[in-house]
Amino acid sequence: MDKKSIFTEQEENFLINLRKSGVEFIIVGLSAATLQGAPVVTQDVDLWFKNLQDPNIAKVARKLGGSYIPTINLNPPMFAGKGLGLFDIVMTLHGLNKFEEEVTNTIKLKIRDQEILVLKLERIIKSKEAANREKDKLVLPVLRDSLIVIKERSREN
Amino acid sequence: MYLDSVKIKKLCKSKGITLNELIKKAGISKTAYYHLIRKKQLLVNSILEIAICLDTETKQITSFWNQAEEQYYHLNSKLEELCLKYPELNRDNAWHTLLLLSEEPLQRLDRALLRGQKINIY
Repeated sequence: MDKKSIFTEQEENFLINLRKSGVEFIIVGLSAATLQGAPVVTQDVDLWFKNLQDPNIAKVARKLGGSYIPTINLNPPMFAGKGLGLFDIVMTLHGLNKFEEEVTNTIKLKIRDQEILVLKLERIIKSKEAANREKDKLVLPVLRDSLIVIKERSREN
Repeated sequence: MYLDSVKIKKLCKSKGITLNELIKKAGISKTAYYHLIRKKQLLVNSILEIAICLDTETKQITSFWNQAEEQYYHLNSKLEELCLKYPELNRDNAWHTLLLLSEEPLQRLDRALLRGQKINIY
């Protein structure tokens, strides 16, 4: 990545270290959609963890000079620190099954020597349809069109 | 994209006809042919008409100036195919997806994040 990048080596390191520590997670939301080719914009990278109590999540965050801040009152858990601020923790995904089941609805993104799970576009669409927020309604037509194009292209390849 | 005189000569040879005969078959005058050969950019429809008249594919008579141009034409023809197959498809969405698919996944994510941040600023 060049100097203008937002998703830099630091962010890559975080994902790689989580994976190496055995933390189970899936990249979801619009960041997952963009990874697959959907022309949408996003402000963060949503991560869905199998077990938020996994002590390795906090360990990895600390190792990289950041911190994992668990739920405090009504505030959802979050990451703090350079290279971690881009990541959001997703607590619930509307319309989807349990983490264990959705793991089968993922594609593998290779970052260096690690494979990171990314939720398939079909499932992202399903989740956004179920959530049905105004911002979801706006982006759904783009995601549906992208899915058609991506499927056609993958058939060719 | 331009009419490639070398390819056209090869086509003549493979069809066992002279250039003049080929020009006649394409339904254009000699002047028009040399005018087209000198043109640096041609309309896809003009090339398509000539290719149909010659009973050949456009790639048999044309060349691209560079890889970027070739990729553009390739994606454009893919877009047309998709829009024919899926009339409800939004052309802009399809076009931008096609463009993004030629990039690496992390590049796509970075682009989306950069644009997402810009939206925040303005």
